[in-house]
Amino acid sequence: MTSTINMWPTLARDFGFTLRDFRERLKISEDQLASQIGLNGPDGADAIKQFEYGVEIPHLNTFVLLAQALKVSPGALLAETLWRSTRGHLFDDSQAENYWAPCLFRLGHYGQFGAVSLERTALENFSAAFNKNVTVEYARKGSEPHFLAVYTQTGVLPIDPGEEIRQYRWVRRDDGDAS
Amino acid sequence: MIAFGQGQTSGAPMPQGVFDRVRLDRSIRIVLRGSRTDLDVSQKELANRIGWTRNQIANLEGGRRSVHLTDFLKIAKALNVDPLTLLNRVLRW
Repeated sequence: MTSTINMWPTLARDFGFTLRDFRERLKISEDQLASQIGLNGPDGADAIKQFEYGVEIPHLNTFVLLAQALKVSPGALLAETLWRSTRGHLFDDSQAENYWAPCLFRLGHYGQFGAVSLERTALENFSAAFNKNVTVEYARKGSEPHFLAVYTQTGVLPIDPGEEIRQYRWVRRDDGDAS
Repeated sequence: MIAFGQGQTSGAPMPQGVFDRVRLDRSIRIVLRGSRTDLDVSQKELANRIGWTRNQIANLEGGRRSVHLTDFLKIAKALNVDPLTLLNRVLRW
């Protein structure tokens, strides 16, 4: 099912972080996730741990089954993984802009400069790409839209705030704390 | 306009259906082969681009070698196809 990688450690690490984020959000154990993709017993849980620790990355069919078990689209799982990796060396900037987390930055960016119509178009595209499970809360700061949070069916999007994103005020749905 | 999530070649939502391993294996092989031939890239040329042998490509497309996530990303990049677009094709096939 898996093979050890030694070519793209960045990808393995970023996939591992992403997988763990999604699993913990669902509050399921490594055992439970493994059994949902047909890997039962201790070997199944070990396989999940190997993925999460960045030791191994899955074959594509396993990757899709993991996404299915995590109740996210395979595209969302791949996009999140690749977005993390765009901070490394895997893809260049022209490709990075296609992925969702930078898109969130762009939404905030356009919002900050008050391009509301463009912001709305972007949001519609974003929602379509993720099966319309996305809602966005924002308030205005003076005359400018100011994003508060972006939610999906499974909770707050797994933002990994970069320097650019930190200037926006992201809040969590559960506690309302600003971060 | 910026394309979101799936690159700039597809605006359709990513399929989110029920998948099984056997069907996926078949879809992956067919889509990878189809994407290569659509671009008029030979197995040998693709192999050169990613540092493989032609036999490795043939084995992958023929189902004698499972497609690792890294293989998939390498091939997408070598074919200059957005990986999310390519994944979307696999899931829709």
